[in-house]
Amino acid sequence: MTTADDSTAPPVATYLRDDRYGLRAPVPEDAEHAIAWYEGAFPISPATAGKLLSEHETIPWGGNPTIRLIVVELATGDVVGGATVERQDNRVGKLVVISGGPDRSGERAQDLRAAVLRLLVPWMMDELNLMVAQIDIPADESILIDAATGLEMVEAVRLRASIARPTGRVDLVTMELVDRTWGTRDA
Amino acid sequence: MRSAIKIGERVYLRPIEVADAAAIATSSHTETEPEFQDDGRVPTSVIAFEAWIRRHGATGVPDNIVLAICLRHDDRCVGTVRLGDIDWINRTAETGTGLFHADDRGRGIGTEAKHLLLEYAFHDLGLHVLHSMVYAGNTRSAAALIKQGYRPAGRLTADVQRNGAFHDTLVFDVTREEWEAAYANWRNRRASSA
Repeated sequence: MTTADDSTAPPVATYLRDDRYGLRAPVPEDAEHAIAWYEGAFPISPATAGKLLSEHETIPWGGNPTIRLIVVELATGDVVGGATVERQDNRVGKLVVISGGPDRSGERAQDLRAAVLRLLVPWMMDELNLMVAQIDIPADESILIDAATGLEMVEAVRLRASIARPTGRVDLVTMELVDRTWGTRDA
Repeated sequence: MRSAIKIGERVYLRPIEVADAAAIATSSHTETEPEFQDDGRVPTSVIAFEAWIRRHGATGVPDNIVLAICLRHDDRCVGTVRLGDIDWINRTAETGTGLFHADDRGRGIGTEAKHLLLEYAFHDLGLHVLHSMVYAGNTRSAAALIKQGYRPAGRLTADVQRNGAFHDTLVFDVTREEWEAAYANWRNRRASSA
């Protein structure tokens, strides 16, 4: 486990942090914490996670169409989540935010994902220069939907009954933010 | 018929084979109807499709199933149907249909194949709800989805760039009950017109 006072710990990006969480590129040691950042539904071993990271992280200079980020809790240095930004035509960005562990959609997990969403969406639009940012959110995750709404994202698609919960099925909402001036702004 | 997984009146579905690669690759650069050029005009490689087909079905639990649409009378492969992004926990998937040649469209072949795919998805695989995405300019495919029981679920803004302009993608979804009602209507119409 990486700790906050470990001087060898890879730093989070100064522009992708709030008072609790920071985001950084993956490092090989993150393979040990895949339960926190891996987006798949089934757990993977550290060896599989390491292979996944090494096969994915092959394009430097931020050129990978899918950018993978690790979420670190600043106070402890613990790896607590992950995010991917999948760029389609360098124009449409599909965002996935993960808070792994025993509870992926409870209040704590939603708080974390909402914080990451607030960091990533402005970055996607202003620095990755994307035209559209999209994220899929189960309709019962109100904290996350409120965060997206606060970022001026709007509901674009609602797929009915697409998420299975212990208490029944809920809709899956795609929220998007569109820069309608994209491609026409002066430098 | 060989390796049929679903059989209809005029068409049947079977797993895709390496021998289908040439038909699939050729279809994308001989397409004559612009609304069906979903990814723009790109010369595609038979070699790449052969490799893709070899990989397809190589794992035990697939997240993507592509089936060939074949005519019963001559076994010709005329297109494909697919279940993509299969989510085995939430029991959802995206559906898609493609007929290689314009001459095969508008004859009900695609609709029959799609009903066979939906039967496979809902009755055999036990999926709960399916969705489909259509380039907004493809009004024929959008109308076909409605006839198959799908309902509009929204639109993704500027999802496609074509000919210097941005176009939306229309999204539709369908539950098993909605598809079963549409399938019954389709079969009744076929029976009454026979």
